[in-house]
Amino acid sequence: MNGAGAAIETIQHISIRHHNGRSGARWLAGGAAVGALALLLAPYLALGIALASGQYGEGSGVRQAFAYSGRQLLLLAHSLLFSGAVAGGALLLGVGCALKLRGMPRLGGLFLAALPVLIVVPVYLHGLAWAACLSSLAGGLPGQGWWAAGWVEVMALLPLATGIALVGLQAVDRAQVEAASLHQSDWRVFQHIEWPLAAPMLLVGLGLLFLISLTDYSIPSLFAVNVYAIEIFTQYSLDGSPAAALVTALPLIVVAAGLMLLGLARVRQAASTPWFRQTPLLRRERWPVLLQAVQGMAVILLLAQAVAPLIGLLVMTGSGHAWAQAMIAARTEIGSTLAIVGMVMLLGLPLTLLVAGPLSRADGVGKAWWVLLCLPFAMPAPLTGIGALHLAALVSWLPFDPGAGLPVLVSLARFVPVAAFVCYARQRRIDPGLLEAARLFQRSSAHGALTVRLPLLLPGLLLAGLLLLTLTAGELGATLLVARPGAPTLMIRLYNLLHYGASRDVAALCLTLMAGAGVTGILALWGARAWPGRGLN
Amino acid sequence: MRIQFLFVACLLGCGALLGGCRKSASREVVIYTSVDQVYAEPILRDFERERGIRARAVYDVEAAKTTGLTTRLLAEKRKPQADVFWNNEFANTLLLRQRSVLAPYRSPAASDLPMQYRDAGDCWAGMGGRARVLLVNTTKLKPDHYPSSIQDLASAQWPARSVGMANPLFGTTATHAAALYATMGAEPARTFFRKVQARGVRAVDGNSVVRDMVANGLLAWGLTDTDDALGAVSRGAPVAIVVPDQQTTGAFVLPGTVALIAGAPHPREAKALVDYLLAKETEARLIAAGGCQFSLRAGAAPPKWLREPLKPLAVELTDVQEQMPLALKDLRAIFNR
Repeated sequence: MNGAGAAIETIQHISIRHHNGRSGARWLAGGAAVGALALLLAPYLALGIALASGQYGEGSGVRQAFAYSGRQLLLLAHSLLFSGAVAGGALLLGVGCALKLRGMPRLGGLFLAALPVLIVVPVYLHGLAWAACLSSLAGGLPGQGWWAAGWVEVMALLPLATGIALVGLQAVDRAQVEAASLHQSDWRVFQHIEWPLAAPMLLVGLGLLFLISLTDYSIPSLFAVNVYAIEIFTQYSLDGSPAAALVTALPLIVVAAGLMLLGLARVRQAASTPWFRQTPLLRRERWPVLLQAVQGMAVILLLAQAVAPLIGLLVMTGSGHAWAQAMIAARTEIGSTLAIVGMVMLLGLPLTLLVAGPLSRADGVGKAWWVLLCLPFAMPAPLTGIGALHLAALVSWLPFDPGAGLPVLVSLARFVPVAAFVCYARQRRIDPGLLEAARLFQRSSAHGALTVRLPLLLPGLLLAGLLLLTLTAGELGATLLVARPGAPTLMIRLYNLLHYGASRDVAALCLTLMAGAGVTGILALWGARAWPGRGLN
Repeated sequence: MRIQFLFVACLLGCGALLGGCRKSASREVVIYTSVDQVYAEPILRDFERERGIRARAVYDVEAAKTTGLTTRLLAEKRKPQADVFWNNEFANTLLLRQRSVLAPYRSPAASDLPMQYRDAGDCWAGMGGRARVLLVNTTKLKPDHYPSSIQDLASAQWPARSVGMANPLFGTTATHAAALYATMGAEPARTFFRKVQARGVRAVDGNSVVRDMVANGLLAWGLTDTDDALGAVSRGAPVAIVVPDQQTTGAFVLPGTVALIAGAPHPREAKALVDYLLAKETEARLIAAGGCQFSLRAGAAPPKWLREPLKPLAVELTDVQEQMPLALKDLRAIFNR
């Protein structure tokens, strides 16, 4: 046998061995993914069991809740319009910021590192700052109503919208844009090539922003605006029935899930775009004067949104001594929050990897996976907490106290799906050729996953971890229902102090949250840039 | 190989951590409380020191509307985690009583409480009271223009945009609305709230927001609780407190409540804590700290900031609780649009 024949035989041998090993590993991976999804959906399953078994026994309340009144439907319509306008406004401004920032790599990098800092402060606190600002601008007159609420919510969502727009625009194949820009202006190229290619990703972002706005009642309440989300709480106040509250929340869940599926389906259809061939922007873009002005204004607003709270919080805290005092007083809460965040990161990242895998499948299983993973997006946080409590009651036979793990579980259930979609986006940017090449010589699937797939996924995993960290640190609605006795979280203390009126302590705690998120953001960005594998794609 | 080892070690660590979270065998009591942490925590620390029982607390927040601890207690009814519920109002306590979440316990410390502040079946007892008051910004209004009644919320004498109250669907404002339904009758109360909404009085996100908006001059006056109002006074804000309806029906007083949970995991320690909380001295401490403003005991001296003893609204707490569903249903239709 000559050398070439031996080489072909070796490759065939490796392929056959690899194929046999793969089917077993695929079953194992599939089983682990199903287990991970079941764990994430466990609170909702438990809630479903509790409701189906008639534990609440308020049939009439539930039946009444199903009879949506004209007032409720009108309120829902108003809320949908409001959230649509807010999400659209935030995303348009975000695109303006992203177009400007991508031409300024340093500022763009700084913004990405600061993004968790901007997300970790509760939108309610942004709302309070803007409410004071609006009223002073209006000469002491109280700013309120749909316009004021809409403006504040757009500003609160602007950092996230900019991040989404940056990711969406970055995913567009630059080669196509560069080729077209040889013949047309940047504005025309943006209109006819870049925007349509980025549209699916931006649509998902729009859906996410829409959902955040639709399920938030804190900012509208601050400006005396009624939205449908408050109906859920009102219904609960009426009869204390989670079943009736769930039925009241149903239109929101249906609308939200439908929108997410629509948006995500567009992303799936856009799979032909070869994201892994992405190249950085190599030249200075030229935009029409009007668009330049809009971009400039959007960046100024973003900076205002980023800097104003920081300055306000520093001024309110007053001194390092005051900050230290607030920290000492909150040491128990800081400890509990760190423990929860640490556990969520530790368990959440492997779970993210497991549930993100089947998102790439094009068959019915893949579609069902998308639906199930979208479900937690639309669930009001308190219902997640109630579901977790029922779960603890269902598994009370376990040899350890299941209640102790609930604060971690509710954050996993609410935020791992977000992290999974981030990972999925990263997964799609990996050149499949690299994985195929590695498959020929890997010792096992696990070996291949650890040495090739995981390093390629790492930047996405870092971003997912960052999201898990910031969202978990800021969680309140579900955690409040499952917090361990004697171990309140920082967010519970923060809202408690807010009620008491201790603005100095609130500011100090917010600064700490921002500092923690900022340091983690910088580390994650540094890690993503320093990772050797990033050069591969 | 090293990564796989690390992964397994991490999982084992998690298991150990969770396992380590088993209930400890030492003497402890679990308390759920909606009293602000700044007021409740020092009292619980003193209880720990004096009785040698560890008190593990779960606190509520105003932002959770009414879905906080009451929801949790209802959901945990089959397997309670809490021993004691210390509520800064009574409506949710009465709801929990209705749903058989509370257990009877006649605390000796509650023996000197008037009957209206004790449950007939001993499932709860009162601890300190707060009143619903009007907070006025003294730079916006002169004393002769101060409002004097809850009914002034519906009066055109003050521009609606300069008057505020918390969203009446939640918290003590909802309880207050139910009290008005109980005392005025459903139809007059409904008409009153329709007028308030129609003229555009600001319904904001909680009593603390009313306090802050009045203190900052964004509102000329608003309806809030005494603890919030006195907080603004103690911080030196240009505000004055008006106790409403002193010449007519009286001001609504909400007692705080303490209750033992049915099936409490630590019954002996729970009873010790209930006794401690209901003691006259603890009530006095809470009043001194600002967590509540009135003693529920007969013949107690009025607080110093009141010129005259407060005339309370004559209403049975159970009547208020009975009116709550109707009031909330009406108010939802009136305000949530």
